Amino acid sequence: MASVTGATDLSALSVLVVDDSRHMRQLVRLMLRAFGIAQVHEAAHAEVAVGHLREVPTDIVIADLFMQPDGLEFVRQLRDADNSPCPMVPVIMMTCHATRGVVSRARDAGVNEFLAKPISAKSLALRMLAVIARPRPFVRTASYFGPCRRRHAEDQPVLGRRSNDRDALPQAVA
Amino acid sequence: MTRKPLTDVKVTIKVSADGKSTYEEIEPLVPLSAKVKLGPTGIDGAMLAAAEAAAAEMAVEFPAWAATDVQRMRAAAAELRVAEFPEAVQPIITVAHDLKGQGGSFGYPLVTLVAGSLCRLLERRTRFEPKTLAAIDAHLDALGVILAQRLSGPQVDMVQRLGAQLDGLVSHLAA
Repeated sequence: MASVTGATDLSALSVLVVDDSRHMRQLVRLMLRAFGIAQVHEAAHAEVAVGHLREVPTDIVIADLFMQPDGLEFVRQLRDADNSPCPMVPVIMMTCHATRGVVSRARDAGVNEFLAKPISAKSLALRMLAVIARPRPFVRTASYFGPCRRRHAEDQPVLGRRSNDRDALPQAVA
Repeated sequence: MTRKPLTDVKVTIKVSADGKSTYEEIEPLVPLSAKVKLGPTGIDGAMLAAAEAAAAEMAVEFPAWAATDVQRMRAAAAELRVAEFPEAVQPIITVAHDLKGQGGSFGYPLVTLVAGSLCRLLERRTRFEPKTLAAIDAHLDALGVILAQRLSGPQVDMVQRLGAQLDGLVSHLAA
């Protein structure tokens, strides 16, 4: 499928999609390709993903929370600055269970953004723009290393809209 | 223990809000935004439309593979009836969770609704009495009908009515 490119050019990005559902991996890959991203790689589970990340420079990881082993354990591995191949790679976590407790645990593990399932092209675009245009700074404290867990109100992503119609995207990430 | 230094980053020492400690703020020397070009329209309507079209093309096959998943859950439910350990329910939870995420993503919000209800029914449950097994069957039957009749799209009325019934059922069994 041909990608559609306008003034925005994301073609230089390399993205890794980690999900044990091959259908979801394929869906995310197709959407990212439609956004103009040529290098979209897939991994069915965390072990394969870490191996991939050791070999291939990767700009963004999109991973499912509910997989074996646990998606949060995968993120903790990535944020282990002494052993990770890419401790600061932005992680967008997909989840069906975006409860307050899950979000809190994921933030503590080092997740940058959340993508609630079911997903849509718009929701995926929002999260991609969040990690590209409004990245959370990384912080290191005595007990935590990862993206800053606070998001200021003014730090919402800038979102695109159709230049020739009124189908505006929402202006904030929930 | 000596920490492995991060490379290609700028580190700034900051003071915490309460003034009692310091922390490092770390930024990459080359931010991700420098690798891309973001036009004024961001990820624009044409890109979104292309992504939605790709999803719609893939969604044509969704009822077929989801029906296979429902069959897998039926087989697991049959095993659960004779199993002596509650872990036998795990394959049902795993597949239901997958369908919960996939349903709305491929234009079948009713699948997300029913699969999500099935997850709520089963999670943290350790005993599977006949009425719970019947409720599992009811959820699988509902999924079968939705997929066989290809009930895609918003289905607002049905989502509301079916959602209320399933919530009532799951709440009743949880009581």
